[in-house]
Amino acid sequence: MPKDTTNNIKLIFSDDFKQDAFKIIELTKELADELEENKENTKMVFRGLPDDEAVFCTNNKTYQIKHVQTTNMMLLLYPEQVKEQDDSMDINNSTSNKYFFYSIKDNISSYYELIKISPRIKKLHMILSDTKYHGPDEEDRFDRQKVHFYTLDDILNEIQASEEEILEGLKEYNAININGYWRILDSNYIQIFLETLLNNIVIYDLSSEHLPLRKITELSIEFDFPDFVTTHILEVFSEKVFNEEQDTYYTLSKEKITKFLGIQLLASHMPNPYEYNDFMAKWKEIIPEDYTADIELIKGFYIEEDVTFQNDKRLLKYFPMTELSHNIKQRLEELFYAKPKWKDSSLLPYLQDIESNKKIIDRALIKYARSSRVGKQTYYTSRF
Amino acid sequence: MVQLVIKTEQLLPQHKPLSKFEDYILLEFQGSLQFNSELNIQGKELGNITEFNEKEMSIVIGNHKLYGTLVELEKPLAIIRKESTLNEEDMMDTDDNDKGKDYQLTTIIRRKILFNKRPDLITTGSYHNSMF
Repeated sequence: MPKDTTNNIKLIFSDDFKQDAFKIIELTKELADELEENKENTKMVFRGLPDDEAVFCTNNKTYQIKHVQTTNMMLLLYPEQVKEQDDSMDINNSTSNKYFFYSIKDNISSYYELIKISPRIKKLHMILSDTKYHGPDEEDRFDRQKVHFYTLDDILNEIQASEEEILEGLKEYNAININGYWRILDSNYIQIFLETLLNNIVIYDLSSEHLPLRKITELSIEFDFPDFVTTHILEVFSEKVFNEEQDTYYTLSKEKITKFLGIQLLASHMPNPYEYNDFMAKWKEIIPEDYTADIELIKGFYIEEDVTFQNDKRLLKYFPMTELSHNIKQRLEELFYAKPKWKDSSLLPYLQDIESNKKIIDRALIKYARSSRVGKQTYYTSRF
Repeated sequence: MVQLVIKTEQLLPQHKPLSKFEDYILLEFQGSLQFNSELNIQGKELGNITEFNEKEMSIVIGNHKLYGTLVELEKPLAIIRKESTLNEEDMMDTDDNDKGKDYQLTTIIRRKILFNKRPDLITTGSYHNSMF
């Protein structure tokens, strides 16, 4: 390390100086730390198909990119040294045969700002919908149709979200990896499995708190459910999985099963609405006696149609938030299109999956909706 | 473009305090440099750093002396180098501007040197003009 003998350091445009050879991205402190501490495993990726607006992803976050032009000028310098400096220049004293200068690498007047956004995961469900798994008998169909199956790599190429968010999304859609391809299980297929399972529990007097995998697999095979389907669905619909005496046991989640069957029931009635009392009665019928059907469970999956002239009737219509946009503005547009006037208590569940920050939701509501009060009840109408 | 990965393996961490001889340094000036676009400035000298310590820096450019201070950044800046791996002709063949380009995270700047004070005008090069 040479000593800092001079306070006169030259600034020289580098020999390969090229305006805009460098880009500046404004990071958060956390991301900067993560990169410096673990550069091998921290990813920085731009994602987007030609028609998309590109996003910036790290391992677990997605950002919108905003190009900011500044009136200031930024010079990027890098220290370099020249050996055996010509004596006549005499920059350092004669004993030193090295001298330092700063090479100007770039002259930059813009940078990129990152704005954290919710991942654009909705498309994930869409691209996987064509290859839904309907059971072993239906698999031949795909060979004939030449459908495109997706590996994780294919998904990363197409979905604008970070890897962790995509894996999270796959989990949310209960996707399963079959032979390297990510597949969503068809919901009717899941329903048949669950109905079979609940029947078997009754017939063989099994405990749904302590359900042995081996026994269930055995029983399921008789109904042509492959092992991987059994394991997957049990995992999805359990609240606890534990190993005991060389077998795996599951504690089924009453809530998850009740919710799923409720949504299925409502969806099966499409495009017609379900009368509230009829719906609740039917729902109770299809779940085990010790399960509780509660309309709260399927919040975000139904809207109530306003019936003006039939006083007592409440009509429920299947309206799943999972199929709505992940952009809060578009989401609100879709919601108000489906129903012009919303109670706050039924509107808010439709926004929770895209934004957990209450402040951002409030801000969006102020911007895109009009609120009104009748007594204690707050209503929202569209501002679009 | 579907995925464009910025390579991070060659990231050069910055020293704290800044190492004069090892770290990339970012200078920010209010206003901009005007230079003749036809002029090839590669290898040309812009000016001299006359003082540089942990808090401040002064630079002489032409007959102006500029004073800058080290500023801790609230949001660090990733400096990314864009390297074209294709020659110009190949580039013409593709609609996709980012194809064949390598992006490399060079360093992360956490402190910049901000020149936001009025520059002094040096009339003879030996003393500052207080009239400015």
